[in-house]
Amino acid sequence: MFFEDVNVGDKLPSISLELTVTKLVLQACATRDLYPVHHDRDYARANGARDMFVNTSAYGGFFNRLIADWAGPQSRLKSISYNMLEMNYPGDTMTASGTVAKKHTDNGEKCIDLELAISNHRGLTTTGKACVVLPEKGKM
Amino acid sequence: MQNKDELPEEMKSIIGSEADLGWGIDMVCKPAVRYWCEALEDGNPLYYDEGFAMANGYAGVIAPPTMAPVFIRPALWPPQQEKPRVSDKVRDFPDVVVQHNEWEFHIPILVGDHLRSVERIVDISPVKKTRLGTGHFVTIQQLYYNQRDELVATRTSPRFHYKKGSPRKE
Repeated sequence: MFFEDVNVGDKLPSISLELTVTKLVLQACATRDLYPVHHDRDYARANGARDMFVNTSAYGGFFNRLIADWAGPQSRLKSISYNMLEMNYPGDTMTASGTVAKKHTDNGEKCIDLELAISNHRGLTTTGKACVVLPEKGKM
Repeated sequence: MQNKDELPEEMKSIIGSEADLGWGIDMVCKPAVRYWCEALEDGNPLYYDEGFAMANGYAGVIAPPTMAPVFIRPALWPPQQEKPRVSDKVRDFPDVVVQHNEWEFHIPILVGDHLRSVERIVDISPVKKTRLGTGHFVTIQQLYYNQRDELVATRTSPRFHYKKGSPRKE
């Protein structure tokens, strides 16, 4: 993806992840976040949650995938922030989406600001913002 | 920035506290990156294909940028003495939830890098009552460096420290 090809309002192709107990266990191990609410249903329920739920690091990784899949290997993620509003549980499919909010130049770098979201069938669970640097056509 | 006069002295005094989390037990390695990609179904070749990564300007395979904390987490076995954390200083509010995360990425993490981290308390809110209980938002910043002492990434998160069973916002 080149800076010139992007317009404010463009939608990123959304990505989805089917969540199973196995997938959440994989996420717990891969992120090394072994807090039991993320891999132990009994513990999560005993602590007031409906079920075990996706951890913080997994959301960051999922947003990074959304952005990098769209922006391509010449892009560079500068920043990302996100708010976790609701949980994602086994049985849910979480879908990440993004919209181009702004194009600007920062210290000579061609930057795209994105608005991000993750939803499941109950509704919006996570909102976010990111800034990604894209290459310019003339400079390749 | 909140009015710090509203903060109890013992909370005010811990703003600026630092903890050195030290070096990761292992270097950044391909299997750890692969496990991450499997868990998120991330097929980006920058994370496994050295030729592809080099053709795109990297010195080798890289790790996803938000993966830095993975390489700082302590070993789960054998049992170790836990390193002191800045959150240990928030003694009166032992229960924690994190709802917001902010990352800045400065340079890529390469397979073979060795990371270390330092964390510090950068801000504390006045006392707040939320649906969980009564406590403070404690903003903790974690800085990740590589073996060349280059700042790789910065994570900032306001964490709500409270005490279970304390008065809640209705």
